[in-house]
Amino acid sequence: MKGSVVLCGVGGMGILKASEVIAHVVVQEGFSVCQSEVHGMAQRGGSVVTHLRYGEEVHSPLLSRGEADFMVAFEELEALRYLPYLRRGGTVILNRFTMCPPGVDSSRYPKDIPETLESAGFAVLAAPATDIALALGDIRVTNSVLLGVLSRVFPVGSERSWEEALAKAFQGKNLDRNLEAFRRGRA
Amino acid sequence: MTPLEKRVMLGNEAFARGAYEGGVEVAAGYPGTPSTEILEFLSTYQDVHSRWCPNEKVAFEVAAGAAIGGKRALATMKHVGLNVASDALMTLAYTGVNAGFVVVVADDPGMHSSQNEQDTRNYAFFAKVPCLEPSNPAEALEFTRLAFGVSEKFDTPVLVRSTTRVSHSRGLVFLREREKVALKEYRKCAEKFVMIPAFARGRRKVLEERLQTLESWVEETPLNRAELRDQKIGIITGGVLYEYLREVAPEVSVLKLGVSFPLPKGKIREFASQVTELFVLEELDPIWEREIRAMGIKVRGREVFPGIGEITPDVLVECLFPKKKRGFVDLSHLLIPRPPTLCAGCPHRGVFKVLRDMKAVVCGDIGCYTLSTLPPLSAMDTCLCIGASISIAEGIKLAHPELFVVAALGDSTFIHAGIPPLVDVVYNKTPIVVLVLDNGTTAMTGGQDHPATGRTLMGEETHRLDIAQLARAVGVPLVETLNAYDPKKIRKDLEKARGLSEPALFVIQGLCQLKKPKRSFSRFRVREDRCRGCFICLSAGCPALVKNEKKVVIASERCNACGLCRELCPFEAVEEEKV
Repeated sequence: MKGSVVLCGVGGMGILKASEVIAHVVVQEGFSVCQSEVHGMAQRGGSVVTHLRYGEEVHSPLLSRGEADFMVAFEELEALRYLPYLRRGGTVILNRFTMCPPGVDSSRYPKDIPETLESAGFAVLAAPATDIALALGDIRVTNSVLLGVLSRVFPVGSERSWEEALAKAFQGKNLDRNLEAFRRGRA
Repeated sequence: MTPLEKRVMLGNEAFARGAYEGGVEVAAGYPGTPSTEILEFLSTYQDVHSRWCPNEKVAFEVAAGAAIGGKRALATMKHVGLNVASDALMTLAYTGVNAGFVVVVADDPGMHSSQNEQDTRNYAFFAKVPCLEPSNPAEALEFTRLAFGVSEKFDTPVLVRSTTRVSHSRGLVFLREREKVALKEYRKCAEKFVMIPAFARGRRKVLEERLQTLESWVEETPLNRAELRDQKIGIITGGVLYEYLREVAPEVSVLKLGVSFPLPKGKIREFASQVTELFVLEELDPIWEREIRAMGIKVRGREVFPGIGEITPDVLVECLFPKKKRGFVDLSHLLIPRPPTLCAGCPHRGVFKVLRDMKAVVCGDIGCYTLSTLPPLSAMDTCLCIGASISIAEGIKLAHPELFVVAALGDSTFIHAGIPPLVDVVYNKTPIVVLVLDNGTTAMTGGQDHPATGRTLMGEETHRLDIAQLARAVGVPLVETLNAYDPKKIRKDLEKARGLSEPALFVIQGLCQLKKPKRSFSRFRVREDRCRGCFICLSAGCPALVKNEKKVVIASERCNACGLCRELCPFEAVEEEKV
């Protein structure tokens, strides 16, 4: 078995951390993993993407276009930007959250992105992850809400395995908050 | 040695782990994407002395000195950092080392976070020092560990070349015990370590002899390995490209070069004779291709693969199998670009807004403030390399004395390479204004300490360099410290300095937003009754300000409460809100 995920959003949204949690899950389940991320300039509010590949034998940390089984999009416009990496009919875990790039008139922001994705033949699991995170009192747990949503359809990892992976990525009170967020997303 | 444990690691963490397992005792570097995290991870091992240095040359020399002294040592930097340290490299290749000395250099094909894309393998050829090239995090660990032994065996500095996709990818690695290495004896040996011409001539011969022994070693080392599969196509490659190739064309034969220099000519000849069509796949410069062609072997490289930018798996497929197509959906016609910007509340924003309003010629430098180059700020005229802001500004002033020429550089950047040009400004009496944008950290690389923060990489308190005092000490006639969030005062003082016939230096202070604890006690909002929709506030490009039809609103979740928009608003429409 093998598979791949593309995660995308805007710098500072916890995308790298989410990617790390998925890596823990697949390794716990006995797979090998490789993953690429972008640091530096890209974290200054710019567009951010990470690729993750798992399987018995994996090599390239970068995916090819049309390859990823899943996309976890932290922001709607970014889902469109990295859509070419998703295979036809693949699944988008979509945060219902829009962030118009600074200096751009908000009327230019594409409308009805979930519908656009669905009509392009993708399965869309949309969730207001940022709103849920804010209701839980910490916008930073947005990523764990989205991981909860992903865990419903991801072919690898039991609920326990995901929680174990979260415990590797977060500590203390922070872990409790992220576990709660994960469960909200998974429910 | 059997592995202790397997773990998922970032490439840069694996380089650090490899150095640790290889018995490194002294490690030095200067932050630079994509190399920065190596030293940050290494600093978590308490039995290694790790330090940030003012620049890569100092780091290289401190580490080289430790190796000459008898401790295994590491220096880390990005590709352009090796330019700064290259003076030391070129002659250390002559002297050799004592204990192992390894330099991990990270290249940035595609320039994700760099001003150029140069190929560090050129330095290996240039200095005649061996260069190892791992393909993934597991090899990053293993090659770095082995590099210390190679360095000692051949008495040479060893380069380990990384690229963004090796440094910033995660993968499984296998941890081993730390090698126990005894401190080597230090013996005075002027013929080896004092490079006066009489002794350097002797070492020049040693360099060539060493190269010959290295040329035999590369034929034997398992770091270079041929993998014969379908023999119709054979590809010589290395680094992360090997991994891409295994993924997109698992059937082809590969000669994987784990050593970029010197090349295993025997292995190359043998491999070439075993395949029908030979390719050489390398990112950036056609270095191996030139060498292989010079051996009289027919090989295809640059005519098939691009020489500019990253070679991604997609690019590789397009080059090798132009007819192979995988279906994908492209909705890019709907996209709006999202380039990186100065953060909301960034202390640099107000300064560049003022400079733009004053129509200054702004010579910038390497750091976050290059983000002021694009609209709406459009404030920067030049950005070349670290420290060049001041000297380039001097040159422009010589060409056009009537222009108001300003050099703007960060605190870490100033310490890195800004001090000698500042001395030149004073010595040659060039009437420019130097702005040191002091945000209290090395921001662009993620916030590292430096000599003016008063804290070391290992977290110790230390002497804090006082930039204003340093400027006075080198003789700058006018030195002042200003608040980054007071654009009116900055403008007033710049107007004053503009009229002078002497140089001036202002330290503009304001903490980096990424270093500030998140504040929740104050927020700003726009009073709708007062906002007249002039959009002057938007001209500074703050990502927290949103244009809402005819007025401006502040996106409260993004606002970092710096108050710059309040300073810029001509109608007092922005007010602070207590929460």
